[in-house]
Amino acid sequence: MTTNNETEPILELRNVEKHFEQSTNIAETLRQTFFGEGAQEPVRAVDGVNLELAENQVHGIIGESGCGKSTLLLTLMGEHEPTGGEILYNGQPISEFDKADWKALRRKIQVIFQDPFNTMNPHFTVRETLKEPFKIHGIETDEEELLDMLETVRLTPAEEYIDRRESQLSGGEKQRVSIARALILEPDVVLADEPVSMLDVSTQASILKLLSELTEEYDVAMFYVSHDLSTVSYVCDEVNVMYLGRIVESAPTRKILSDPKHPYTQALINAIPVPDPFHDRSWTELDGTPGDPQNLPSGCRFKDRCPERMDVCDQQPAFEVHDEETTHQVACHLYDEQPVGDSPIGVNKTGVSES
Amino acid sequence: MTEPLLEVENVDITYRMDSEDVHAVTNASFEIGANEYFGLVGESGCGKSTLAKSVIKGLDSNGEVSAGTIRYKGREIQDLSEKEYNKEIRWKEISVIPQAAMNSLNPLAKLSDQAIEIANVHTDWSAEKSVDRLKELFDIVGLPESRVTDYPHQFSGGMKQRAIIAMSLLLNPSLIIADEPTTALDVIMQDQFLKHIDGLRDERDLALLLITHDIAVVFETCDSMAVMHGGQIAEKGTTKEIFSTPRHPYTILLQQSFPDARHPDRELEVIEGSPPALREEVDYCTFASRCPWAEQECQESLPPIESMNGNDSHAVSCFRSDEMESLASEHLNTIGRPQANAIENEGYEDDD
Ligand SMILES: Nc1ncnc2c1ncn2[C@@H]1O[C@H](COP(=O)(O)OP(=O)(O)OP(=O)(O)O)[C@@H](O)[C@H]1O
Ligand SMILES: Nc1ncnc2c1ncn2[C@@H]1O[C@H](COP(=O)(O)OP(=O)(O)OP(=O)(O)O)[C@@H](O)[C@H]1O
Ligand code: SF4
Ligand SMILES: [Mg+2]
Ligand SMILES: [Mg+2]
Repeated sequence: MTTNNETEPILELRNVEKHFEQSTNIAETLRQTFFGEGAQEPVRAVDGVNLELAENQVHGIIGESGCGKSTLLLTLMGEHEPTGGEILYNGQPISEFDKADWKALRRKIQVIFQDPFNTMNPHFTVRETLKEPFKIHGIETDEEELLDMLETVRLTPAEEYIDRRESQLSGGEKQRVSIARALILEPDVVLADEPVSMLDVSTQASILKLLSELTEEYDVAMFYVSHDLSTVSYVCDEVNVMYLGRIVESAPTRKILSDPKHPYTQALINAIPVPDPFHDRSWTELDGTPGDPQNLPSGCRFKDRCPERMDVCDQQPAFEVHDEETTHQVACHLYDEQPVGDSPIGVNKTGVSES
Repeated sequence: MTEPLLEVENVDITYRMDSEDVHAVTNASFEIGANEYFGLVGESGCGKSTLAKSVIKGLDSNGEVSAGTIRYKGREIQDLSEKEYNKEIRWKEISVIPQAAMNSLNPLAKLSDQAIEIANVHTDWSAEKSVDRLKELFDIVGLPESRVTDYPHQFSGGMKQRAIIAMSLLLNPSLIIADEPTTALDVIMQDQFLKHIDGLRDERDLALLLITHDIAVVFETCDSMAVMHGGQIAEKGTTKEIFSTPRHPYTILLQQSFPDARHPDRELEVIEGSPPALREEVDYCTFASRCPWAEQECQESLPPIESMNGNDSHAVSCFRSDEMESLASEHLNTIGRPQANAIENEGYEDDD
């Protein structure tokens, strides 16, 4: 692999797609079997994502359940092969990697998984869980290192925890073990899938601070995946909002929080509970079911839930820079420069037609 | 006040371990009135689930209520056998929305069959009556009645959740205990869930014990709340009291460690340190090692829980609670909470 050069992003995604041919959705499968429905459309879980992650940068990927966040991360770590597009690590397409490159990559990219209840092998003690990555990569380790890591993620006193098994840890304690496990090999890139969602907020605050300190200290870059916009300001430099396999808005964190453009981003922010019993926030108006990545509507994928829907929304909105100064990008017809009728500009404003 | 629905009084809960025991809950007391929505908050490992499980006979086999009483509708239930509990209380009086709620439905059975099964064990209802009841409840939580015969996997996540709420209401319980029901959900689904839970208030006589680490959720949904730290109830009161006049150091600091989407630039407070391991009998304030205002006394004896300003609902377990207003004035001021008189003034609006 080539070495990193200052200007090059450490990880780059070019139009990355991950489509699943066969649905794992049992309902779909049953429907096919019982009602003899023909071959299914593929599940377009990730559908044309462009992102760049530079050394030391932290990018948030935010969106509701099922929008493709985990699939995107699994694709980045090589668990899924992308069905389209290209992923580059230090400028090298990973599709060209040989076995040795992959092994090195698997050490350099570590993941903090979403569900702490299933991350830890129930038969393992905390010690064995933390030793496992060393074993996989054939590296020596000592007890001291393991204890230090436990202290770092605030499982103190570490001696108290190192011999415990999964069942003897609370939900939040488990999550901290999985964070420790991901960080212990000092990776270049951390892919964090909802790393704090199971933690109480005071612990959240310290873990977020810790993650953000670690990225500084060890030059770790991170993709931080979450459904919760309220935590991103503590870790992320930039936020990308994902909806049904696509990025629909992207901007520096402060900008997106103070001035969200996409109606979906606005809904995400409005749904955050406010810690104030005197504040009368209205419940979300969005209909619960996010669209189905197997039966995507043409045009804007949010249109069926969008309170602002217009006729033009049947055409796919382009993902465009909305604000030159801050590189605020949004894919929504509300921000087309001219009211769109049949005007050629309006047509230009829409991207390629839906395939 | 009329007789409370659930009374937890001076409860200790201990997990027996090969080496040393874990004293997971010490001297916990709180009450939930009929129709009251009550929130229990506190950080990971503080004993929330342990306390809830003690109410529903769900403690791990090495755990026991080692002191105190738990009364439901005036009757002591901490010593009921599992069989008695199942027969008389489970589902009918108290039902549970479990932590991993989305996966709590049996994937192999139609929802209608699951309802028939539950009713069959706990009542003498006919199958028809059970299904009719489920249909009514589907209607209340906004699901089409026709879908009672679906399998859980035919529902989207949000629909599953509503089905679980419906199922928990099946035998018309007076109390629902929900342990972190929304933690695994994204914000929009959480909001929909809370909207339905909130909507039930108008529909029926129901009390809720909502366990969560998310103080914001409790502030929005509940009437009253308790804040736990290290197995102790640090403070309890109405949500408005806890918000406006917190008097336990942990509550005060906790509120400041909370992100508020209205103030993304506010610096979050990190509460340094961690709670003690609770391996020995707890006869001290478990917040003392982290508390900026701790004194000798705090390490040496258990602070009694005392009501504030002669107020029945608001109580604090801190030796220095009377001084907190001035001791913690810096922390209290930055939150921008309404002044005490605003509480009486119902017309208060956040004019941020
Ligand atoms: N192996 C698979 N085969 C078929 N479909 C899949 C597969 N993995 C994921 N999907 C589908 O792809 C879509 C995206 O799923 P993904 O797990 O990436 O969502 P997510 O954004 O991580 O959601 P959550 O917040 O719930 O974790 C979903 O519709 C899911 O059902
Ligand atoms: N079966 C057990 N044996 C020994 N200790 C236990 C057992 N179950 C829980 N504990 C310990 O008791 C304490 C309280 O745990 P509990 O699960 O009640 O916490 P919690 O407040 O629900 O936390 P979380 O928010 O993480 O779910 C923790 O320190 C935990 O490690
Ligand atoms: S009792 Fe003491 S240690 Fe505990 S919270 Fe009050 S002042 Fe702090
Ligand atoms: Mg996911
Ligand atoms: Mg718990």
